[in-house]
Amino acid sequence: MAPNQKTQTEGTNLKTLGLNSPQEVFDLLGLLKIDGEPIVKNEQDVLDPKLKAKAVIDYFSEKFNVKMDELPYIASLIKHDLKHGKLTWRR
Amino acid sequence: MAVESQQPVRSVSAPQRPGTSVISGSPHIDLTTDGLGGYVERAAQLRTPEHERFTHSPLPTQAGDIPNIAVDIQPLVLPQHQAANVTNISPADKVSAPLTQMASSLEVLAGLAPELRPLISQVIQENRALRARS
Repeated sequence: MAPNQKTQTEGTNLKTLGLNSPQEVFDLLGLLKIDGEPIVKNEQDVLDPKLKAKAVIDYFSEKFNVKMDELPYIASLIKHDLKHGKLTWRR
Repeated sequence: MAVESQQPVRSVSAPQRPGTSVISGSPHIDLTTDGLGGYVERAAQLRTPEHERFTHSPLPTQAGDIPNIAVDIQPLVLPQHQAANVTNISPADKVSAPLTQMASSLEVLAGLAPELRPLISQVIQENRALRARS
């Protein structure tokens, strides 16, 4: 292995998924409303990154049995579809 | 906010009175449960390495499980000086690079599984016969 070649050992490479930070994963998924119900139900949790992350993790774990390390892939797909107009923001 | 959107992701008006909403009217993304399930499914596919996605071949988990040796051996090519030392191969065989490589692989396979030596010798003999005829 070349000296400058690093092995990815610390989880998902967010850059390759088009994501800028771990917080972006939770920001994106925290904006979802599923069947009209927000994933982050407690409004105060929206303002606290840790509580927001916990709410998102709990939701996907309970509803879809999705582990935390799978969330960046979901966020990446949603971000991709937002950028390409397949998903839109609502107010 | 890292989302590349020109719209504000969240509009928070401060100060807030206790009990008032801070995210009412903030942008959101509407999805159905099925829609989100589709994303979850696609994400799982995205996450699965290519070779696992198409073969779904489990790795051997018990001592008795034997991996597919042929697949493992196929790309193996010994260095030329080692290939030249392979026994039971005529000099004519050594001239042909692909055959030498194949013989080398066979020899390695024979080393791994000595009980296969008779079969491997037979294969080599048949190859010689084929080459002699052609």
